[in-house]
Amino acid sequence: MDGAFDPVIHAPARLQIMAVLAGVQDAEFSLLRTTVKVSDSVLSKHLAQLADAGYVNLRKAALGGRQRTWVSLTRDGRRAFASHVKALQALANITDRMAAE
Amino acid sequence: MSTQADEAAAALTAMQESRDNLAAVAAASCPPARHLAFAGLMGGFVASQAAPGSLVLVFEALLLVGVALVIMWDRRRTGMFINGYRAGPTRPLTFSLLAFTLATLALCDWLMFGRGVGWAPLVGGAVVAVVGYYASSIWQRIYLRDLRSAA
Repeated sequence: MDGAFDPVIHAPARLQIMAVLAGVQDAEFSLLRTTVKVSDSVLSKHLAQLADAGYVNLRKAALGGRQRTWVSLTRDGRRAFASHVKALQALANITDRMAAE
Repeated sequence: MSTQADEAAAALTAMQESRDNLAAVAAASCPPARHLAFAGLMGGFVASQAAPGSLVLVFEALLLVGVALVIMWDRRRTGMFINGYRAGPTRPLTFSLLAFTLATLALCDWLMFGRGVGWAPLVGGAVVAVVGYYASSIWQRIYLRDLRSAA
């Protein structure tokens, strides 16, 4: 099977966070909350787990006079995400093949 | 196995939903003025060569400030920053535009210093600005298509 499942990314919300971050260089906390559709506390919890695994960088920076949290994927995070998605695709394709047979 | 495969398919669908949401935000928050700003910077880069002596450096410094302002504007407007050199289907267009701009710059320098056509960078800058505007619009379309394409 291509790719490797990653238990850190496997949770649906964390997979969605990684998918959004893979499309940008960095994203602000509120944008992640909007696109992944989770509450502030849930997003904070998942980001902390991803940061602990070394998959995302968190940094505080002022924007419009307020401190905001910016999140970006690390190189390891990008690699792990690509590998996890590959594994998911390989597994999902099994369903398609079984349905076709 | 079927349950695991179904879960994998569901995870991919959920992941695609979040990318679609990102595409919706990106599409709604990139006005024509943003493409115009990019075009102005690219064209200005070439046109600045027409400035006399060390004024070229002043114009180039102003253009760098302009780049920083556009990045700040992007972050404030959209809550994200997208690197133009990002990997993926947009990259060939990025490098094609870069190659076109540098080739135009070289041609303008040759015309100005080799043939004495002092206004060449101004025309070259205008051409690069027009091409840059359309390239920026096309880049955005490719980027959105990339986000919306199934994982």
